[in-house]
Amino acid sequence: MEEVQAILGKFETPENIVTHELKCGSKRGALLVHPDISDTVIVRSVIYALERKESAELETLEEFERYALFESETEISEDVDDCINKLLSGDILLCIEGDKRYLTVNARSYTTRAITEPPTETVMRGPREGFIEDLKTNLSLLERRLKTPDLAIERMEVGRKTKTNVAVCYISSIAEPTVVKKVIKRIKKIDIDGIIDSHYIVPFIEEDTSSLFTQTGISEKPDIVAAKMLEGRVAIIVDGSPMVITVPFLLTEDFQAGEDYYQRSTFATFVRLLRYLGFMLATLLPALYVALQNFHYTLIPVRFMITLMEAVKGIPLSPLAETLFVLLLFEIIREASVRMPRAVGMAMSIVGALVLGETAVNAGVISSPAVMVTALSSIALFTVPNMIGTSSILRLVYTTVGGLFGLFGLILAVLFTVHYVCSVNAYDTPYLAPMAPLVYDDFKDSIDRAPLQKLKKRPKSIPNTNPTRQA
Amino acid sequence: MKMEITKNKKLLIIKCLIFLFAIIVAFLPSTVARSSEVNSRIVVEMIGIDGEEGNELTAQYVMPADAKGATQKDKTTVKADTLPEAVELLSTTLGRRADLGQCSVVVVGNVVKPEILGTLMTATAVTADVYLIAADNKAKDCVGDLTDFMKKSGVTDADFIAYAAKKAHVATTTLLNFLSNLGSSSETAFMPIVTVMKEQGGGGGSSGGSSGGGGGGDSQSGGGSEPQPVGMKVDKLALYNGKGRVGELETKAARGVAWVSAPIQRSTFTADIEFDGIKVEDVAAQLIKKSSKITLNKNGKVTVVVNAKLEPFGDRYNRIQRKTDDCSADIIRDGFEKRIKEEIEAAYLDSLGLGCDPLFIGRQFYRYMPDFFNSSYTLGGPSVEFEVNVTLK
Amino acid sequence: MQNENVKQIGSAGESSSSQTDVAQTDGGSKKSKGKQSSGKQFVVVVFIMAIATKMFILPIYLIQSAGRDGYVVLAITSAVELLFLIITILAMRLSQERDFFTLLTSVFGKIGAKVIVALFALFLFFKINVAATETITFYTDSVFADFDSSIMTIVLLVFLVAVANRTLRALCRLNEIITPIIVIGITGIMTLAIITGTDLANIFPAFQNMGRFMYSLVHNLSWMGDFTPLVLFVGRTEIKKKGTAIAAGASGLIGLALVVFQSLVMCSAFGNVPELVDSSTNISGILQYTVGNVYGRVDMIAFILWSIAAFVETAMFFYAASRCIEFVIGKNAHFAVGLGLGVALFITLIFGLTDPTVFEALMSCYSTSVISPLFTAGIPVLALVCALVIRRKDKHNGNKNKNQNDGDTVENGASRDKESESNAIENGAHNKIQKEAGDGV
Repeated sequence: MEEVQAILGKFETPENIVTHELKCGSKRGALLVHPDISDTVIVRSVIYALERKESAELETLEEFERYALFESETEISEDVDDCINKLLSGDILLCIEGDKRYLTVNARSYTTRAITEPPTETVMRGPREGFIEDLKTNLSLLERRLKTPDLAIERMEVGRKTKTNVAVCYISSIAEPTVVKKVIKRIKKIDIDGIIDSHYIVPFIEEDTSSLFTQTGISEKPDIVAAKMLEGRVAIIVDGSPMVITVPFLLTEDFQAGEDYYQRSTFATFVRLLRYLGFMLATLLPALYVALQNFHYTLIPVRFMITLMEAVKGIPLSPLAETLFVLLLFEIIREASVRMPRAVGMAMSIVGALVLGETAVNAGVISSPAVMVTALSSIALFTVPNMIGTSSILRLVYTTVGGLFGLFGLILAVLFTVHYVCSVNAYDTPYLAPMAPLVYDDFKDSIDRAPLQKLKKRPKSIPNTNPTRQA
Repeated sequence: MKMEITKNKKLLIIKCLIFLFAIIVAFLPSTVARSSEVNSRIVVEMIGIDGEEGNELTAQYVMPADAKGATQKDKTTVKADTLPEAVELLSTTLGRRADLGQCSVVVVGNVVKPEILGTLMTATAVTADVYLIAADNKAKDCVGDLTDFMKKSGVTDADFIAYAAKKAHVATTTLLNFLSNLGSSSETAFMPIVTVMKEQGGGGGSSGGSSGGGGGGDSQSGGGSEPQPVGMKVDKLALYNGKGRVGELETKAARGVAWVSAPIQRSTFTADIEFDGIKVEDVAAQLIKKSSKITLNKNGKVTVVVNAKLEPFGDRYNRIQRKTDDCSADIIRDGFEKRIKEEIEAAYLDSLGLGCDPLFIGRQFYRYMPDFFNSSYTLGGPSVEFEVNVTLK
Repeated sequence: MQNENVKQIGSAGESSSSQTDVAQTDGGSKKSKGKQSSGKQFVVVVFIMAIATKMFILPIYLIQSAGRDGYVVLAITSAVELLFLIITILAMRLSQERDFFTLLTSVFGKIGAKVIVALFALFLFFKINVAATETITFYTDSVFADFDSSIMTIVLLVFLVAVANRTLRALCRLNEIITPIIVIGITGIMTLAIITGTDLANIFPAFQNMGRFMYSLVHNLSWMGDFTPLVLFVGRTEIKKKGTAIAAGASGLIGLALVVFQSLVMCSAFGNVPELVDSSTNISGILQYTVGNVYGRVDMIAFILWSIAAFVETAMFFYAASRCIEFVIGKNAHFAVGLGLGVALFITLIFGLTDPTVFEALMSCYSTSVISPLFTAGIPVLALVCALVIRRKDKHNGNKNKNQNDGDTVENGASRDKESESNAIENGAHNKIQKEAGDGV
């Protein structure tokens, strides 16, 4: 049959497609099914519907669509490529001899993971649902939370080969149209063979792709994404990825956790301050330790300095080399324990932490303050889990600069970083808001977390068209 | 040629520059050298200066000991031609760079010229804020005794001496303060004298047991026959003028200087109190707050006003209170006022005898009546009145 | 209507479309720029410019030359600087959204403007050197044990070139975010000045040697001119509100008062012994303070926090100088100009100013003592005069065109490039909301 060949001819291995020949009135017909990704129940019911006695009189695709099939998602199309895409997505194709058109019936079905609590964002209290790899499920999770006709979902396909479905979601009465336009424009401009995960999209919608700082929010939880959309952000959901991107993004978002809103506001504020402190400790403590020990020992209190002198007595490495060594050791252990199978990971950390650390100190290769400083800074690193990558790099850079140029260099390096961060202004959103520029009202929900009644306005730092959230 | 720098080229240039920079930095001597780090340093807690040119330095230092958590306190003496050379020599002698920035006390020997202290401040790492202490005789001996004493009593910080002086109601001074006083128109400065009390250790001494015998002995060369430091005392004041140390003020006068010209902290002192013909000796009180002011009169008359807030305490004070009903406060106040006035007068007169002005009356004239000061002021010239106001808590 | 939109962009402060747009309109072009700093940021910048470079070296020179009257010299020069700060603020209010370069061009013509700006750039280069020497001296003398100042200069240059490469807006935001830290540092120092009990009465008697005082006054005039880079804010900052202008003036006053007070403390500490003061025993040695054995040198930490202001001020001068050079050469090559300026700065710093005697000679020679006040006064006055002249012209044109056009900024509107206009319209809605965010003073 010519129509079947038109489809199958495009395939490298046509045997993967099952062709079911049938009689349509006076003409021959055929049903094309991709068995791996089609729902067998739907396929069976379609075959049953077509082979029924009552269907024997039907001749055209329209008649089949109207009188035989009782499926909701059907379409008649002439575009062969489009039909192949649909077939590859799990749709059933029906063609009739002599008719150039195809009838597609949605029978897509593939096994998905159950909705579970995402491991990256566990909460003590609060919703435990997480996004999964299926776009439809993810959208349903979001739609269940935002029951408003203003919820706009713009779908598009990205990737020449993968044809990945991407959904851009926003609340039209809140999100700033220019931002939405910009996001959609940038996604549409992507010309790549494949989008495997949402992280493939990230560099295309960021302003500064080589930056050390992430400029997009990534979350696995529908409650967080819904809350962010209510502040005027745009969410980008990619089929095949549980990670949902939100833009515009502020640096303070990294210091916020979904759980902040499910706790008492005072405690949440305290925890947020702790995170800022943790970030400072993580990035600056080793640098300060090296700088003070190398150049500015006069700043160290006398008694503390004597203790320090005792600890570092006889250490062959310079403070900088020693601290860098311990830092690298930690990074290696961390990376290894993440990649290792879980059962071995435990043994790894024991070897790493106890055996290596302890013996190195005892052997006098490294000093115990250096180990302590690195350990403290590394623990602090995990108070802001979203920034582990950034802060690890910053920590190494700062430590090197502190060890080579002392506080002078360290201050300049920090100023350099802050100045860079100040210059980021993606989607008309100052990255460092509400700190720079200072937006007093937004402090209620950045460093501080005021009670919900006080958050009457949406954050001004993020462009939006509807500032009021509570009457 | 067009100087159009594309983004890629720019990135390349930046990368090259960073690389170049890294290489320069990695091979720079100052970043490779280890002379500056804490591992190659030694903390000097106290230095003693001797010799007219200040060329003999005695340093008390702390060094990490072999045992974990233990420190070693010791002293060493070096002699060079000048003070800065002596400081350099100190590092050579100790084998580690001596860090004078952490030094908190400078002990000054009796023959040291005061301008040497200016050199100490500007040409060495000693900060302007160290406490100055005068030695009875040689600073070397004083530092040695203090080191032994500190080892024995387990004191870790050297500036306890200054705090002790403040508590004992003796005027203390810091390096810059001393030099500033000396440079003022009064041309007088002072520093407390520290005396280390010694007793014959080991054998025949009556208090040998109380000084903790064996512990102190092992580091001492002489063993039992050498006198052991058992305590220290700060109750005298050394007076300086431009030429050097001119004399000492005894306890009473030294306290008088503290009332007018120095900060003192919650010190305890006593006064005799008379009432109804009965005399109660040594009623104790603690100083809460004091302030002093020197007011000048147009015709060259001076009034030194001291306001003090005291809190009397102790059995003798209670006895007076019990015996006299309502006027007890006035009686006690008068007693203390008299005592303070005596001390200040003693300070004024004694120092006048030495040709010094530790109450800085001359400076006050220079500040507020410069013409009078230049034309007709002489040391001891103006008639001075003392006024003491005591309030009791 | 378009004008309306443009005004919104101005008040929004933080909303100049996107990074690249800013880069295009920023700097040496005479096209009108999107507003790049909010009124609040301007207030903060004024404060930092006031306090930054007068804390470490200047008091030493003042005491050496004028003894205990040194602080009076600083007070007098500060008062003069404050006067010209006010003139700058006035010029900003009257500039009608034209920046300094545009103002100059429209009054003196292209060549005239370039000559003036080139001279100004030279002066700014001198100021960068002063500010950089200030910080480097502080660190080499007080904070570092032994360190090569040439390496420190390189590190500083990396930061400076990065600043020149980015926008004024980023620099303003940097100012905004570090100000609390600097304020903590200053508060620490002022507290120490009080609790360490320096005898402030040492500043008496005043004016015992008028000759020395006058000598000091004349020879330290070269330190003036810290507010001159603020002319770059003309036309780029919205200070329509009276309150913002007053706040800017007040922050300048407070900053200068703090500096004068600090030098007063130092004068009283060294009043009797001016020969002892040198850079190694600068003020951080006088206020030395250790809280027990737990916190270490609080004073030094406070001074280090203050020194951040000096870094930022150096960056401000560097930025201003690089933009002036770009205007003169007529190209927007941020990186190339920044790098060139950096190399020049490196040469002057390494081969001249690391030697204290050379620096002292430079600062106290007559030519710098004439040039600095000249620019301190000249630049703001020039900006004000140009603004007034243009205002008058506009009025004249406005009357002429009354029948055809109701806009009072016809010429202004015409000179605006299309891109920024379209951006202004595009961002209109957002700006309304950001207006509060950007300018809430």
